[in-house]
Amino acid sequence: MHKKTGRSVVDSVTKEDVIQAVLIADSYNDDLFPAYPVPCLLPIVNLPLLDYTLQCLSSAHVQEVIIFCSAHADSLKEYLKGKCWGRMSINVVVSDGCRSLGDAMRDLDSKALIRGDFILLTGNLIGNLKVLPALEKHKKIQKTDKGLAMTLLYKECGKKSRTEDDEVFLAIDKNTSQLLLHQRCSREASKINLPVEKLLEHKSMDIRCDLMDTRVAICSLSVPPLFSDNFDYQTRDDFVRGLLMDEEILASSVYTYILPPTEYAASVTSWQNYHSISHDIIHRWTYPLVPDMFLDQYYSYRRNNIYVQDNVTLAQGCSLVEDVVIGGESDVGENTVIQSSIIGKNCKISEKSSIINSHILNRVTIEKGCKIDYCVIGEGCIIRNGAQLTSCIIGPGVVIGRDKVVENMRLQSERPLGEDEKENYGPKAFVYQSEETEAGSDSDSDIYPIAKKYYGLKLEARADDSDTCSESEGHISDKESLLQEDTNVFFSEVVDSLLRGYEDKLPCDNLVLEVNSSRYAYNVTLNEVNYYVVRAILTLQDEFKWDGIAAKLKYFMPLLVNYIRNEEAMLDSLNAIEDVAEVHSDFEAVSLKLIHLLYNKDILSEDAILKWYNEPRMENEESKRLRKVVEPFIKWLKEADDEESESE
Amino acid sequence: MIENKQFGLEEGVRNFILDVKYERIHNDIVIEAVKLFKDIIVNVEWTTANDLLQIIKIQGKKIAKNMPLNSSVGNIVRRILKIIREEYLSLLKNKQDESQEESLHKIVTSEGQSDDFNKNIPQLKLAIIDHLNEFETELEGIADNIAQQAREHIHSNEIIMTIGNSETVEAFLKKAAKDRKFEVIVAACSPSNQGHDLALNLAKSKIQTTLIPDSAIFGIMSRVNKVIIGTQTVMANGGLRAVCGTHPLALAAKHYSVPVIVLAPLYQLSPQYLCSYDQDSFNSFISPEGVLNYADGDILSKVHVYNPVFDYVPPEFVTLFISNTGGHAPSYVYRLLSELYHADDYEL
Amino acid sequence: MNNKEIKEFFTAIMQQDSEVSAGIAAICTLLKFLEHDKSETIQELVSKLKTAVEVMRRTDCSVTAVASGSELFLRFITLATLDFSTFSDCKKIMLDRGEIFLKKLQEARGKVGKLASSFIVDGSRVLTHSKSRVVLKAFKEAATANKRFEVFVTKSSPDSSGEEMAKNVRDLGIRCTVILDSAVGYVMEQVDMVMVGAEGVVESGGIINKVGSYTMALCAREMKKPFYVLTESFKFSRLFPLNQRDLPDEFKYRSSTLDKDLRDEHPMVDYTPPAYISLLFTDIGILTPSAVSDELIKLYL
Repeated sequence: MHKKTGRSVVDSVTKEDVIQAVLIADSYNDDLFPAYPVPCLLPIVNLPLLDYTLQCLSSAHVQEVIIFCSAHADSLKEYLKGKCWGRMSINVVVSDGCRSLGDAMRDLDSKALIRGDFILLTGNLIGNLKVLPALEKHKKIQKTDKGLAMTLLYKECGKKSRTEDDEVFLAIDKNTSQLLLHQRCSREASKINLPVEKLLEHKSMDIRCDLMDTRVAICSLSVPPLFSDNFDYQTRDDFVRGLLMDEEILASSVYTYILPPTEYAASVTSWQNYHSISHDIIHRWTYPLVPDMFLDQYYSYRRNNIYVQDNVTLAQGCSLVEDVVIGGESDVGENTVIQSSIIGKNCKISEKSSIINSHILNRVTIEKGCKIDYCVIGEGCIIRNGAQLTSCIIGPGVVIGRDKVVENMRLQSERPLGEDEKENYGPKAFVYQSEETEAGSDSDSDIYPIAKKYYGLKLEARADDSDTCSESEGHISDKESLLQEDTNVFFSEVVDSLLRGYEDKLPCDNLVLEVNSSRYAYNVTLNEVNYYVVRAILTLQDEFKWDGIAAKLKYFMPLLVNYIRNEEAMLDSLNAIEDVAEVHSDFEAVSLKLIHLLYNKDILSEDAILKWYNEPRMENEESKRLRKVVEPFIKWLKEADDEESESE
Repeated sequence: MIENKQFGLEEGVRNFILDVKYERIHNDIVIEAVKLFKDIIVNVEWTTANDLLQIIKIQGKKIAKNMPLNSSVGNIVRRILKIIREEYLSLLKNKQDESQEESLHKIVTSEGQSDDFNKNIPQLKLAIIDHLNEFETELEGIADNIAQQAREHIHSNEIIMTIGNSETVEAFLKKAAKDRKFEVIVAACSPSNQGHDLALNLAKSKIQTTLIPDSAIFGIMSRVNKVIIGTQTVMANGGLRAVCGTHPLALAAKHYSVPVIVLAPLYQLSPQYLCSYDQDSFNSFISPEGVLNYADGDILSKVHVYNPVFDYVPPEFVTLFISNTGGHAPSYVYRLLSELYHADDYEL
Repeated sequence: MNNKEIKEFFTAIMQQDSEVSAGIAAICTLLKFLEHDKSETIQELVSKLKTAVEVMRRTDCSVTAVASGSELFLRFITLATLDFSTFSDCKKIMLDRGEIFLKKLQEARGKVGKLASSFIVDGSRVLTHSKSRVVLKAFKEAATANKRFEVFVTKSSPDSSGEEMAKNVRDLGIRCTVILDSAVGYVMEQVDMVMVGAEGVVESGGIINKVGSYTMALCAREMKKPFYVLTESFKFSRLFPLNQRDLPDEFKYRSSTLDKDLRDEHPMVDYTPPAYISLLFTDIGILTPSAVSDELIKLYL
């Protein structure tokens, strides 16, 4: 496809009008592991994700696609070889060091490949959207708002149960469709914070949570430089949030574009939405990207959304209930039930098995009497007689032994290095270890966060079943542990950056930025940030000598000023002090001085201190002891208060 | 159509398929298809007619299979194959009357194998191209040819009912409106509501037009004098593959004994049969948007939503076909077929 | 060959190979006769052939097929004679063409089976009547194409030929149910289509087939199920019956029963008018009933 070498000069003049798309082929996380080695070539409904993306771009009259990849570049090139995408040219740009979308954009900036407004998307987009109208609107807004940096494309999806990644609150100016607030929200954090200025500036605004992020954006030429200027932008979310927060400083704005109802777009980011998007395909929302319309695939479409490719052998007694796709050369045995599932090519499914809500990739063998529910099974796996799999993601080449029962697991065929076999699932089945977690323990903190969803394919649909109670409880507890983990990572990152900042004498403003970016990366609430920042400052030293603490506090004072702004924040920091004191008994001694200092520096207010003193969070020895230690200060406060009032 | 000077057969065909699929072709797909095949015949190397037949068959099959919505292209391929056969035989034997069709007569009188199209005839390419040019002009004039017959079928003060939006029907009605006054009722054809466009266009040409929802077809039929519709394909038995909603329209017409006239250019005549009365296999289903909205959210996972494009209308509901060569009864379709295509090409 | 030899030769073919149709057997016999014949003129040859045909028609077999087959053969002779002047030339060409002619006829069943099998889609249920080799062939084609379908076959009184059909169908690994002739109406609502063979196809496009076919066609029409006929083109014959009475008695009854009081006998075949037939699958293509007369006109004009 690289036939751009011999272009004449005449061509380069008209290149101004070429519609460019930048396609980020890496997901930079392991959400979609381990079922397929290359994330963007993961088959969905038996066709690689990238295929959909490129077909979509080709149909949208995009002329040039720049595919950005770091890992798996060879397999990508191999895949693209010999494929023809109509009049669209494809350039593959390999950049080894890229660890995030931000890196990719910075690289793009340095390579100067972009010549105008471009479409930014990931290699896992599925849709039939027409990009041109969005692009036109982008250009139109550009005329009135010079600072327009990015137009985000959204799809209305109503009250659809989505995964948390997709759950997003938006505030949009009703007239201009400018984006005013962008907040990914977990179900626990039910508040959204909208600055008053924004409310005052804009006459009318829509607050919406019925929009699905397509992860497609139209970007102005200014976007790559913005990434370069702000090295802490790692993801598109960072970028959007940064732009919204520092709108005046960066003089850039973000707009939204809501797809018309006839167009569909969604990106596969997790197993949950992999499942729901594959069903959107089967239900033909993505038309013409549906199995029976794929080029050269030749599926026949039957009643109840059943798609069967050529040369499939179905035994007389097998039943395909509904929403089933079966790839070519596959066999389905007698009395086997398949429902809401996708079977790849060359699969052998023996008799009396049941496959429900699952995705079976190519060349999988499933022996007699297996039960497979909410699973993704990678290429070439063998599932032996009578095995039962629920909510599992199985990597390629795994062999599951006879009558094994596996639940909520991610399995791979290779034994991880230095890992003992804890549980035995079969001759070739080992628990998948995320590479990033191992690397993460090396305290290399600039790695893009990984979503640690070790439980497999937990799906909303399951919670829909009537016996929701037990299910949803399990769900929440999972989530809590997850949150716990996130904040811990956040804390250790804050400690790292503060330590480095202190040693290298970095200005506190930079540290604020770093803390903020970590905050967004781990989705930590403001209260937690306040708490952990104070706690981090206090725990930077090994011994709790007043001199050391005072010096650090002096250095980090701007940081505290930045975060501790209201009474709530003050209470957070007092709680942090209390918790530190609880752990380190020698800290108690200095806590009096510390609180006094903070009071003097106006970080803590009298009210807050009194409130904290009078309403302890818990009744235990430590808290009583600490309150005893600070008692003189409290007394002094009260006296001063009295004196003041007397003097008036 | 083909920009590359270095003519790539596969690429040309693939681009054509993609262009049709992504609606990049704005004029007639049928004419574009003829142009494409002309390019193939001129640019691809072949020596005998048999080679050429094979090349065109393979590419034609690829196109036809990838475009279930546009079966006319498959018919064009069959016509081109027939043209090649005709030209070959006429150059070889200098006579044209040799019937190629399988028939009882041929079984009784045949003397061994028929020609295998393997002789190398240098003038063949030129002859085929000439014939194809002729064919192209014929295609360009088709809509006009059909419209010319409008006067014979639409009389003054008649009430005509139609459904959906067929360009042929539009031209036909507009032509008739030049010297007759009549009324047209257009069924909207939801969920795509193509009928709206037709009604608008007719009203612009000062034809008295009424737009009705599909559900009102039966109620209004008793007042209608004639039903005039277009179709996507005429099946080999004279049945129709027409826009969804045509079958109920035809049933209503049958109930009130209203004649149903189908405007069908010859290239819509297909040698295919409806194999299964379970219509799914020959239908096409597009995005359910419009039947139910994606924004309806969760409900979508609980229901199946279908949005079929076509309806099969059995031949007994059609009174008359009007093609560019005149009117035909549905039972006569098989004759047209054997004139237009060679039996070996029925199955591409 | 004298009359006795003809009869023996004919019945030998019929007995040796149950797969062979009576029409083809008749044509084979006539070709054999032609080979050994020592006639000097066309006239003589034709009259001898006609007596041979008479002989075969008097055997206990499907007269309809024999009649149409031999008629076609005679036409073949006539057409051949048109092209050549001398008798010796003529006979030579007759024998040459005869070979090809026979070969084509023998290929016919496969062609029909292939055409019809495409109409049997995955999951369909087919009703058939009595025993038909060409219908069986179509089932076989469909089964080898990995299609899953189910067959209902009538028992077909009085000779219970449906039982044999059912056995053959089951041997192909297809699920098959034998039903009573009187249960046609009962079963009709469950099936997707009716596929029957034919002993003869008349000029109107209607068919002559094992008795009960007409009832089945009526039921199918009432329930709006397609009624397909699978038949080789050599079974087309120049008859134009308007009702059941118009059918010649020798078609309806075995030659051994013709002498008896016919009012007490059961007819073996009935006539199904073209209006009830959706399509005919033949070796010369898929035809609508109206196309049959066209073919016959082309041949006999």
